[in-house]
Amino acid sequence: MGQSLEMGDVSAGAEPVELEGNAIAAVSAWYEAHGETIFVYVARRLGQENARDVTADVFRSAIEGHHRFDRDAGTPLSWLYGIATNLIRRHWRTEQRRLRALNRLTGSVNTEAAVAARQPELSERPIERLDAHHRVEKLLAAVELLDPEDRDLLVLIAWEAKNHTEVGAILGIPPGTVASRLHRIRTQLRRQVTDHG
Amino acid sequence: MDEIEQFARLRPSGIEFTEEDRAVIAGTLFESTRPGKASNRLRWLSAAAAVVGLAATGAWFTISTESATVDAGERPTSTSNIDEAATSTTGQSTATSTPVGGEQATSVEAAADTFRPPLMTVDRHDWTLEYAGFGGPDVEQRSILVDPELGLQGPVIELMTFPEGSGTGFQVETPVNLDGRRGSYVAFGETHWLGFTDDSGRQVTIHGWKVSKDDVVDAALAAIATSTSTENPLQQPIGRLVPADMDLLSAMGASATYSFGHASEGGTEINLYPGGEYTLQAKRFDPGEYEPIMINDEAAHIIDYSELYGSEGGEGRYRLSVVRDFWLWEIDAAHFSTRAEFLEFVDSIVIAESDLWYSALPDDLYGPDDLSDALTQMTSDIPLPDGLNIQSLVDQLNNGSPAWQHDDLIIATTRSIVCAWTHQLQQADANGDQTARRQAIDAILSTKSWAILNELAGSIGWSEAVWETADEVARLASAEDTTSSATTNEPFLSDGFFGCD
Repeated sequence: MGQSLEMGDVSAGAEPVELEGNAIAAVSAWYEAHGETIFVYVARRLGQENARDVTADVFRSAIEGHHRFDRDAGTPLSWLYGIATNLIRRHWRTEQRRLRALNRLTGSVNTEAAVAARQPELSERPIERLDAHHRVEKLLAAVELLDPEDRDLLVLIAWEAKNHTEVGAILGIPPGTVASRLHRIRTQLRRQVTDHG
Repeated sequence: MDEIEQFARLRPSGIEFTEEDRAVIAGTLFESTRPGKASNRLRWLSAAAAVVGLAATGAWFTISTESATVDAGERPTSTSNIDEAATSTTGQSTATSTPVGGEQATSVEAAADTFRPPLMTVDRHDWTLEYAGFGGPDVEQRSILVDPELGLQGPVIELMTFPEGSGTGFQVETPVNLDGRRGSYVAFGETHWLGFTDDSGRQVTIHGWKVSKDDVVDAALAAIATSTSTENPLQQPIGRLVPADMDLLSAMGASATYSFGHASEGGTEINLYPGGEYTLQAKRFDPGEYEPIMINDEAAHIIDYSELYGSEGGEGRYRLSVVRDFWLWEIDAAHFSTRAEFLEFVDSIVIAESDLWYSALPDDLYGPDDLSDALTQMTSDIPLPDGLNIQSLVDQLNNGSPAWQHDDLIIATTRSIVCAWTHQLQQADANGDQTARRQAIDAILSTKSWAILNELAGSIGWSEAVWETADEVARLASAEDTTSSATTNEPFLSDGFFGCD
């Protein structure tokens, strides 16, 4: 599984334990460097209202599992992403609700206009603008149906803008596997978006 | 655009990692885990203070719209920065032969801080309005420099700040050194774009038109130099250019979208963006796709997707961009047999007088005059908390879209009500008011019997999302009965999930 912590490795909600000072110093430096990135990642998936707690759990787990960090297997940030991804899975019902809310909120003109305004090149393509709202509904419903591992991969690629190597390091799988799984995810989403009218 | 790209565009934005967030998390993690924690925390707080300039509300060039009172469909009342000639309403084409702007609906009192775009209609009986919505500010912060004599017709430098992670969207870019910070620059004709990331991670984009690359770089350096202060980086004149007034700033954040459906399978979306020619040039990231054409005697641009992409998604699709008055009209269409047929349709799009527009609304769209009756009927079996009534709901909705689809009205209404009850629950919990607490819990639990939520069930997920919250409240109430230690300080009740203010 590479450097990612397994589900049983994290100790969300546990009280901090006494550890050697170097682990805390290292993780505190990571927090300073990457705390915002992890917080925003968690907030995108679970909402800002959950981000503090889950982010704290990520770094708490990093302190407690610091000895398991393997620098050769990836960067501290990818390791922290891996921990966060595992913790987010525990909150799947929250993420599911958030996707449903997102489904409604993205139907607004504000979102479409905002995206088009700041990414004009996207709006110039022959996209399905006219039935975009309907497609978004079906797309988010299809994302809800993805396996958790696939959903993690999709979010890391699409929302966190990670490349295949980075996603591989985060999820503990080879980059080639990332590519093949992404292809399968794309196929699955396309089938569900286009087949169920 | 494939499904992965489409999902990427749905990434939630506007998330802020505040100084308080940083400190609270650090406090829970490190204060109790080692000696010397205080100095560590102080270091974080210091780091946070260094970037607060751009992140804090009320920092430099945050837009205030207090004075932006305008008429429906008109340009801002303060026109010092807008070329008078460009705002002339004399007909430039047959499509604008209907009076531009029109009167504001007598039943719609535009909020003092709302800029309301024109109301559009299609003068053909086989097309029906399906959606109408107004957009608000599309950036976190905006500042504009213009020539006071020429307004947006002359040189312009616009500075926009987007939430962290938004990206610049540039397809081709050249690195630019901004006093040690990396910027990305790209130019199309007279249009310059420069983007960089500020100290708080937000994306700053500078758009220059009819200015030099050096002017744009100077604006970026000014923004960086003032990024930790409350000073507006573009508040000082640069050459002839002076800061735009609040009316123009407010108007530049507005937009409107209208969707029309054809009796058969056709569909058209009309988007209106403020800024006229300036905005048209800003949106042309790939000018090669735009083909100049004339519509009657009026210059316009068309993207012919049928020609460009053919069977790969382009068949029957067109986009027409035309500058009319203060507005850029962008018309997207699908399922047209030929370009000529599409252009014939374009000719039938007009700005409507508000009375006419509202009186012609289809039955399944609610206008301002319909809202009170519709909401009275919709909420007949729904308990409303103190302070929320039909009129206050109507007032909320009238500050948004000019017309509401049935489903969207249900969502907006139930969101407001559930948010109000949730707020009461949290307040009661904080104040120890058991009566108000019980009342709020009962109201939220009653959502499962609300007729409008049951009507929507099984279609778009909204009702189910509300009911999941009700289930959590039921769990909370159950815990309350058994342990008396339940709390409303739960994530599912926190502001944000339903878009509660």
